[in-house]
Amino acid sequence: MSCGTAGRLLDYWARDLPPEEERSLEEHLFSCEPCGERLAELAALAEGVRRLVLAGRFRSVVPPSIVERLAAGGLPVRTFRVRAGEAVPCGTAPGDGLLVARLETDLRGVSRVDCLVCDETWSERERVADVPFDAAAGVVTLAERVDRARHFPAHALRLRLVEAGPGGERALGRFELDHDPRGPPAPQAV
Amino acid sequence: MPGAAYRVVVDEDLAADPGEHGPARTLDDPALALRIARGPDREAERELCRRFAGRIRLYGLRHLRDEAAALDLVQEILLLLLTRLREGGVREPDRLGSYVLGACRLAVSGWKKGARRRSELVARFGLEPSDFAPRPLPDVERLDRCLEGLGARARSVVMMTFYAEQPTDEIARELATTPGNVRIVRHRAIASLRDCMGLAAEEP
Repeated sequence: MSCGTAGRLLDYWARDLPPEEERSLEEHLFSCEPCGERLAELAALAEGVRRLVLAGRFRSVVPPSIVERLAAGGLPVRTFRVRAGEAVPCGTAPGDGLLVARLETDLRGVSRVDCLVCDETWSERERVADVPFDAAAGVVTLAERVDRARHFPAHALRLRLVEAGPGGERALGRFELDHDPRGPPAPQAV
Repeated sequence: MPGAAYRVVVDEDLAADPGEHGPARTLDDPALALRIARGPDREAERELCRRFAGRIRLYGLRHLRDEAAALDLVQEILLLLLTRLREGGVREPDRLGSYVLGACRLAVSGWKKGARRRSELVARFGLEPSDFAPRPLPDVERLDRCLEGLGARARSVVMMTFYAEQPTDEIARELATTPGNVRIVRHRAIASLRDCMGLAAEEP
């Protein structure tokens, strides 16, 4: 077998090769030092990514399963639910590992969602295009890293979700998170 | 009954030792072993693990002088113990402690032999541990910045692949796309990360 391409090594490391191809590549890896080196470099990169995620060091719109997995693994995740049209107080407390905003709106039939960060007039300041979303649950999950959030001043984070398509944009909802540097609001009594 | 030889046969022992029906934490080791041998009993198994985990860990620390190795020993021995109990393979439940200690000794002895063989290899062939140590991790701070530079979808694919270790089909379903698209996004994302990290470009 000839040396593996970068794509093939990546597919191998991601467990994405058919079994026979995987066996064949593994045989090659044990007899080809350059390919072994390339794989080792990829494996180190993958491990770096894994450790960053485990530590909650990312700021991104992510699939809910990532947050669920981190929480199940023991990372303290603080979640704020924001329904379309709502403004919700938020903040971070000592011991938090990750902050999450669940943006809830009707996403049935939506094929692509862009998340717009807006100014005080709700005009677009920054666009995060084509974000992951859970159409069935009607949720977009935004994760914010705590090591940065701890230094945020008091401010309002205004977000708009839009369905972006060839015909233009359709509004999906507005969401506001009012950050208080003193910490999160006290839980409501039941 | 003190001194009696127990056999793991359910009906006779039920009559002999009605105490085994109490909460697991109130049972002695032989009674716990009996309950586990009778069939799936999560409470009894958990109690048994709770009792022996600490002892096994201390044994591991004493003989291996390494926390990670000691915890590995805990897992290995507890899994072995539960499997043997479920199979009815522990013939003297009243000497459960001795059984566990024997299993620990065997495991640690095997590991130490392995470690000695590795040391001999290193000494005989002049190898240094660095000759086969894992590659050091990339600059994590830089990787942190590079990861932020990816698009949201590409970042998700990378996280789902390398953190969540999800299969491509599952990633595709969750992101409402095709497996082929996931592969393309992943390949491009890794190429982008490599470029940002200053690693040599690779042919696709």
